[in-house]
Amino acid sequence: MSLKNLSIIVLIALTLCTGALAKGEQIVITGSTTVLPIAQACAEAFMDKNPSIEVTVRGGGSGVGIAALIDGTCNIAMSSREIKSKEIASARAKGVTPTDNIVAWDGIAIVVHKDIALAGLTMPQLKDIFSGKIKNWKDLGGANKGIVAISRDVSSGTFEVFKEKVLENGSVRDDALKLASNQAVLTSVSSTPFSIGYVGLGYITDEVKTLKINNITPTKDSARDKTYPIVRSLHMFTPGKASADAQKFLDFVTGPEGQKIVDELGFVTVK
Amino acid sequence: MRGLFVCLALLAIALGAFAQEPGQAQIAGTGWARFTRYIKDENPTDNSFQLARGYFTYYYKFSNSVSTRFTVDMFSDATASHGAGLKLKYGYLDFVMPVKDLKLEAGIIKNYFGTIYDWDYVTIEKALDDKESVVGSSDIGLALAGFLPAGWGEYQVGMYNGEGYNKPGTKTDLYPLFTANARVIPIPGVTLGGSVRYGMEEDTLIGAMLADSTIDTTLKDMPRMEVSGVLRLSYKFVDIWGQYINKSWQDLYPSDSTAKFNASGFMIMPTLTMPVEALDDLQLVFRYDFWDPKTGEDFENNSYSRLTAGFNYFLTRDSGGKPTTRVTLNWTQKSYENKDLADGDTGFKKPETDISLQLRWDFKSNPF
Repeated sequence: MSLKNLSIIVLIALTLCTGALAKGEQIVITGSTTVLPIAQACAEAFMDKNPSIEVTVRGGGSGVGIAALIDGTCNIAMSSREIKSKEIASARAKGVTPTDNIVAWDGIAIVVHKDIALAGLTMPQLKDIFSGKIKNWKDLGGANKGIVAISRDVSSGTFEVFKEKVLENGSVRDDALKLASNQAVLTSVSSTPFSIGYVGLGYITDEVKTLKINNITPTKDSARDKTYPIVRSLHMFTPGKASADAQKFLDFVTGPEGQKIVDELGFVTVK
Repeated sequence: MRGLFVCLALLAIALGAFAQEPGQAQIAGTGWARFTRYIKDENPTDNSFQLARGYFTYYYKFSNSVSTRFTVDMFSDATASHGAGLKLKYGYLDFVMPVKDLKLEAGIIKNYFGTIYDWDYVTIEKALDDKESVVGSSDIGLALAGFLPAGWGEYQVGMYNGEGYNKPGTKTDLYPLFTANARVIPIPGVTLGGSVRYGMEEDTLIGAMLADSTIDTTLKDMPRMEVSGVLRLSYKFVDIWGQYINKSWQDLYPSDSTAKFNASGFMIMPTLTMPVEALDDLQLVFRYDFWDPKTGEDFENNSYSRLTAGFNYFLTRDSGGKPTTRVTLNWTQKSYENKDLADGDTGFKKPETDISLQLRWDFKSNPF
């Protein structure tokens, strides 16, 4: 290849660069499956009011969303956990400053199969169950039956918060069933006798029994005033200052209409 | 010995797969298939098609504070009895330290120097520090690796054997090699980095080899040091890497004297990811390397420059946008200094050109 051919490649590259201005606005949102229902419902309502703006929402998990934000393949990353130092460093090295927007709060509710007679557990008991120290319901005053522990997979932000707040960064028992979504946990607990699992507050249904923790019932109020011990913030990160349309969407989510959706979905509003 | 080492590593992998400790396991792999056409003096001289090498990696998490990684490097090797070779590229334990974002690595670990430890093969060619064997990409040792708060960067300090993973145990001496590396991000998009490695090594002068019976076989400890500076500028679709490397060492000479040497060079590599939606899987790459293997008056006409131009096209990505398969085309021209020499003079070296097309694939399982 001669220098002339090389010059042609450079010229083509520069010509293509000018196409940046022609790129149309589309909001791509990726990340946490916990935040996903909020983003999906808000996106539908938002597009009804703003038909010229297309919002695409995908799941994948908090880690996937933040990786996409760093790589510039999404406009908004959903996360049900705080961003890590390593992720911030990777982002800053690529010229991206992740900007945090808390869009809701969530309590992690402990759910059991309806055959469990217990009304509640303490945090140490919960830790002992999920770390494998307590393996039979009789040790907690229940039936002489083995405990079936149902957890989330390690890429889940819900798992990371549970690990931090309940397991105090210890390991989950090796025989725990690890499922990919809140809904899968709920379905599995409702259909598996003597099972216990954990889901976001918004996923509680009558199909399962919800336990008090430290004698506090998981409700929006107890999550909002932080008396319930397993509470987390839900985030939407933007790469620095959000684009005009992305900011418009975030304003919608944190505004009255978006927060009404947050409330209807069973999460705790930020205002 | 090396075979035993690899067998032990594979055994550890197998044991890890059935370990009863709480935690998760994960496998990952990387493969490269490459076609290269070599051209010298405007005439093709050679073609080659090869599956250059492949990595197979196994991660296992024993607990939240202890995990392990094994990476086996499989490569084509015509001199091997079965036409292929096997080396342990990484094999270490990670220990989470009580200080936030700090861990200790022990085993065959990354060599935290320059750009070699996070080189992502944007070009087919290796990082300059790897290419010129300033450091190996991994080595036996211990390292503390951490992140600065608020995304301000990273740092590592380590103690290594100093010989690199390619030749473990071929040379032993009394002296470890100490390494310190840091990358600081003062403002988003600007990364400043620096690395230094220092140690002693045994240098041998054998009188018989010099055909001089008056010189005894001599053994003496000689210092060596490598330094590197790294600059990265990144803004939206443009990413520019720059690196300076200097290596200094001393060799033993007759009459118990020593001679000091220096090798130095630099690399600059801008990349441009197409900012057009229809072409956002295309990344243009340019790279310029300069390397002077031994500076000093006695070693003129050894330096060269290498210009690379090409592109990466990302065929598939994972759900987070990370490329999983890519096609790379590189045109490379290596030109020699030829100081005070004209074409046709003895010692004159003509430019060498090659064009390479490479298919690379990466995969990683979900934790299980």
